[in-house]
Amino acid sequence: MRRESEGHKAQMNIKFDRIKRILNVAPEGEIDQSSAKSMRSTIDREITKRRELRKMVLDLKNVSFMDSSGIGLILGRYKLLASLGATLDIINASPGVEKVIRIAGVRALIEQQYDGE
Amino acid sequence: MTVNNMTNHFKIEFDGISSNESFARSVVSAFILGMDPTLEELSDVRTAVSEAVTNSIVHGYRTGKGTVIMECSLVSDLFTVEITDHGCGIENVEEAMQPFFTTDGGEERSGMGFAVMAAFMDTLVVESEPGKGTKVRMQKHILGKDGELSDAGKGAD
Repeated sequence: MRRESEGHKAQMNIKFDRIKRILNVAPEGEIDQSSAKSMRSTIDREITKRRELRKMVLDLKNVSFMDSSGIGLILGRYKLLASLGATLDIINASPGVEKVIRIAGVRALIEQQYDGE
Repeated sequence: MTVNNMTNHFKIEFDGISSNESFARSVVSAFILGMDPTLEELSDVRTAVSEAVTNSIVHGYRTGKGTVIMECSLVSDLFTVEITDHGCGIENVEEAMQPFFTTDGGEERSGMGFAVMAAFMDTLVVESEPGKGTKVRMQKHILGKDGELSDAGKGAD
C-alpha cells in the first residue's frame, strides 16, 4: 500500500492476557486511522495464535480517544471472531468512546450475540 | 456565564499525513479549552475534527500528497471549524454521507465518518468538487460547564 510509506506509523501499546479460552485485549492511547492499522494486525495475530478461543474481551479503560476508525477495527475483529465461533465483549469504554460505539450500532451488535443463550 | 462576547480565530495548514490526525485534534482541543467546555463537548469536537481530517488524508489525498487547511472560529458560544483539502473530491456527496458508505473496501473503513460528524456537531455542511477538493464546515454551541449546571438546575432551585 502507498500509505505505508507516509509519515510515521502510530504504534499502540496493547496488553494481552489469555486466561483459558478468553483473550483480554487492552490497548493504550488513542485509536484513530493512524493507529488502527497496526492494532489490527497485532490483535489478529493474537486471536489466531491458538485455536478454540471462546471470547475476546476488548478492555478500553486506557483508551483516551476513539473515532470511527475504531468502529472499523471492532467490526473487523467481530467478524473474524464470529468465523472462529467466538464472541466479542467491549468493556470500560469512556463516555466519549461509548458514544462512538453506540452511534454505529456496535453496542447493539455486541449485545445480540448473547440473545440465543 | 464566563464566555460571553468571546471572539477568536485561527487558521493552519499541515501536510495530509496520518500522523497529523492527532495533531489536528490537539490543536482544536487547545483552542476550545478556553471556553471551559464539558468533557462531552470537548470529546465531540475532537472526534468530529478527527473524522474530517482523516477523510481528507485517506480519501482526498489517497492518490497523492497535499495539505489540509483547518480554520476555526469562536463567536460567543458558537464554535465553527472548516477543514479543507485540495484532493480528489467526492463525486456524490449525498451518497458519501450515508452511514456505512465507503469507497475503500480493503481497509476496514466503517463508513461512519460523516454520520459521526453529523451526530456530534450541531451543523454539518459538505462542499466538494471532483478533482478540486472538499470543504467540511461544522458548527457547535459550546455551552460549557455553566450551561450544564443551568440545565441540571432547571426546576431544582
